[in-house]
Amino acid sequence: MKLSQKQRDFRNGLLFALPWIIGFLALSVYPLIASLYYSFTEFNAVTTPKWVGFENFQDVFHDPLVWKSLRNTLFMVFISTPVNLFVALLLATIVTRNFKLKAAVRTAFFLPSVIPMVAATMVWIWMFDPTYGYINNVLSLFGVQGPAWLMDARFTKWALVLMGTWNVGTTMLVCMASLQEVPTSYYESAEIDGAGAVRKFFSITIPCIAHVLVYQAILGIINAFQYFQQVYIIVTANSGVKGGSAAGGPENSILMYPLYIFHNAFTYLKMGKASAMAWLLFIVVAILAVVMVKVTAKVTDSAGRE
Amino acid sequence: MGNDSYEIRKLIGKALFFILVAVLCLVYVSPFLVMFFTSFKTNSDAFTIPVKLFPREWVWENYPAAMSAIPYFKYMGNTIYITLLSVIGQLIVTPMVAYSLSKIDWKGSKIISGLLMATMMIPITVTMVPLYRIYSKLGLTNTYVPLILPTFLGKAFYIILTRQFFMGLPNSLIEAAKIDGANEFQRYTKVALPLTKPILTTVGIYAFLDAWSDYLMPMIFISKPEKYTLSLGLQQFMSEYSVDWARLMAAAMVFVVPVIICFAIFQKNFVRGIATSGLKA
Amino acid sequence: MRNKLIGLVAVVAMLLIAVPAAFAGGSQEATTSDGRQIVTFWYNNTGDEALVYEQVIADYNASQDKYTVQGLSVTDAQKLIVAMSSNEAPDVFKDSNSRVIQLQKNGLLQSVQEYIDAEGFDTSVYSEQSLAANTIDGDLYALPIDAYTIQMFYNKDLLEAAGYTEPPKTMEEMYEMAVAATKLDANGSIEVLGYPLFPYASARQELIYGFGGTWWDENGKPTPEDPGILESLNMNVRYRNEFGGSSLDSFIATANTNRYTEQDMFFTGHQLFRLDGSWLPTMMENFGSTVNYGITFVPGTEAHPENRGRARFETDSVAIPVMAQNKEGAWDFIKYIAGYDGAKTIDLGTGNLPALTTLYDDPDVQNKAGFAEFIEALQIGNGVQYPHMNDFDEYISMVNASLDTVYALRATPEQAMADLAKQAVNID
Repeated sequence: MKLSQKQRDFRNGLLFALPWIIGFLALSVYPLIASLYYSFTEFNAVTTPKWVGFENFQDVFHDPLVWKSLRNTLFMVFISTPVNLFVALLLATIVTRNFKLKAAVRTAFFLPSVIPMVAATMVWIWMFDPTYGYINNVLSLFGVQGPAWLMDARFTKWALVLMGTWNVGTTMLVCMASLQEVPTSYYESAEIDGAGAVRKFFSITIPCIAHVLVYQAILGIINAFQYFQQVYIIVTANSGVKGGSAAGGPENSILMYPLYIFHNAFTYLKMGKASAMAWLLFIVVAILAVVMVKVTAKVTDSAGRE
Repeated sequence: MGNDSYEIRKLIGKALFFILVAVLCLVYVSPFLVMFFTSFKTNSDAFTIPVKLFPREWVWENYPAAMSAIPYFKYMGNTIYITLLSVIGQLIVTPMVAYSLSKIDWKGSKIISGLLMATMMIPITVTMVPLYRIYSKLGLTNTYVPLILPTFLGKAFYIILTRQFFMGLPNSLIEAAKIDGANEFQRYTKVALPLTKPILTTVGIYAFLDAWSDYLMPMIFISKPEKYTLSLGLQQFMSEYSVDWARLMAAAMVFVVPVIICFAIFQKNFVRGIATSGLKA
Repeated sequence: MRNKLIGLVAVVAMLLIAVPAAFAGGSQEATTSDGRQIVTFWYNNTGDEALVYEQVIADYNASQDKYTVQGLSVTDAQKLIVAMSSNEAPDVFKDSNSRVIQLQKNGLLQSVQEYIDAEGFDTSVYSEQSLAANTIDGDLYALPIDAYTIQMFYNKDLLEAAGYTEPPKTMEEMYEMAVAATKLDANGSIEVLGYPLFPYASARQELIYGFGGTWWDENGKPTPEDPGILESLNMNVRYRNEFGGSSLDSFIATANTNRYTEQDMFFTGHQLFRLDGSWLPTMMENFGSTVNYGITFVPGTEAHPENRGRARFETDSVAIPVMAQNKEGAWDFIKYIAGYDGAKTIDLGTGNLPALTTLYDDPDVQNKAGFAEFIEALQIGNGVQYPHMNDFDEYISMVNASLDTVYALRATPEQAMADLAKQAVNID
């Protein structure tokens, strides 16, 4: 039997996409469904799951730490992401200008992004030490007494934000490339109209690269929801002798949602509760995703009209 | 007169710009400097006040000490092995799937394209417990399968990048090959694939960085120290009791250096690849 | 040409994955080539301490010809769970007794009571406390290889400079001395810390036990509003108010960074009192610390002098996972490593105290720096034991977080502990 062109396309398309389809089913769909099932059970990773109905969800809703960790994660989503974007854009505007050593400067800005997170975080823990750390030593040159960054709950999350701005190389490069694509004629005509640098930036640059910014923001938000490694390492380093620290740092101020899921699953051996938390997160992310898609559509739409 | 003050203002502006750039460079490079110089200090030097960036006395001992405190080369080997396979996996699968989604006209391509972004948004922590359970039931914990297998099944972000790239390629080349009687597989390998070098470089670089520095997955799935990756090995310097900072920095240096070397070699591709990766979404 | 290359790469890649997977998936060999049964043993020590464990393993292997123990240093507690859930559990492992309790509560441990009863093994050589620490619902689930408790170290010179000759016997005296000895430098940073705020774990435990408080009752229920806890925290807060929370935080953060290195705050004369364990004297010796220190019991209070010397009691224990392959061999090794020779090597090598009362008078043990004083403390026998709680780790994390708010002066001890009680309502 000879296949029609359409059938052949279907077969070929399917074959070429097969790895991803398998991966999608095995690594996304199945775990999601299984996770939903586990969220109604109790098990400790070794024993078989036992059905407990809505117990885990009740537990999750009444656990103040679930909400605290969600707030901490949302802090990273809504504070750290825009800050990173801003810093990346600032660095990008610098490296799009023409000056000597431009390539070297670009390398300096980008290099931190290739450093493995574990190594980078450890260096930062050292830098944040109130006595030996460079941050407070530099601050003291200006007469500012720096805080105990990773000990004082008022500063821990800001320390993470600061750490994050060091790692914006990829976003910077993307912004740089899109800045270079803005036609210089736009600026020239604006200059004739007497526009200053700031106005040019906001009325020409930003609209022209808006779609790129939105896309980078979405990637940033996705990463912020996954924020785990850094806090896990900080908390482990801080825990001192035989568990002197809370599972989420001082006052649980850096207990990120993924970290709390991890603790429930692998430290407290409450795999069921961890799964219930995971589903709650999934719902939050899904809602946010819908909002983001709407926003993206709007932005690309208006960019298209210009 | 007016011209003069304009010149002066311009000069001051330029000076300010260079100061800003210099300060920013220093800020961005300083953690490296701290890592580098601390790795050549003795522990007591690192802890001496007032803090000095440069070692009072340069010592090399931290390096051999760090590399014998953990089976460094073994972990390095493990990490290279995982990274290599991950990169190969992504490089094989990503363009294949992306091709199917952009150059083959079939029903699934639209659906899958829509799902790609959605899967990117599922946090790893959501699927972590079930995945862990599957792998442990299959007896695959403590092997590298949970770390490598997914790379042979494609990662949404890379597929999206490559798909965008394919969509920018004219269909005419592929159509021409079709008229010449090439089948789909030939069209893919002979026509499409050779054109994807720039985007595959980007994907390869991303995949390399991801695999090299991954921490959560090895932490969950690998329990035997002989199978640790460097990320896990580095963590061992932070024991419950004390942290040997100077050695830790030396170990971190040796962890970081291969990445920097790789970056130095591929810098041009790196920058170009990543820069263009986020443009058309 | 090109697709051949890709095909080749793909095949190589698949092989690279498949080959190690095939080897790694299977279970380990059960015997060595000379017919000895293999017993796998995990311990959670690294560095020099790991060498001590390897020494004991080598001694054991040389002492008999039925079993060969293979040791493995695995520090992350989560790894044991991973291994247990995928049938790769070690035959025997060493961990703290709190871990033994947690794993037993989850039904993951083999009781060693059966072996003890079957053989008529004499457990009376172990101190009562160390047996109690590993007994759950009347059965022993592990044997202790060492014990540990906390005592008060004090810097004699700093104490003298503050105008005192004798270490404190009550918390009230200690407070007075701590305030007198605390020194600030020109910038207002703490130069000498009087009150033993670091390590945090001791502030959570011994400072509170001295007041007669505990975080749980004998049924393992949380008791955060215990009057002893509140009294202790109020004293803590008084000290913080006197010297400023943020400068204390900075001091503690740095103390945490350089803990147990040669720059440790106590080793370098920046701490008057330090509540810490039996390993401290040996460390100070090794780092060549010149601090002139003494060791004394943790203080009681004026109202309750009998609380003097009340401190945590923990053991490191060896236990058998319920899914272990070679339980007989595991038990045989346990008897060795928790027996006189094995435990002696470990206790001396790692600076931990003996759980065997028969080791108390061993000359090598008595000669180890600080051990005589610590063994005296052990003999009081009023150590505070871990509770038999399912959610112990979770509760301690909650406690630590609440203490953070108290230390940061963001809530009064009464408020914070009332909140904690509400939060811990589901803890059992």
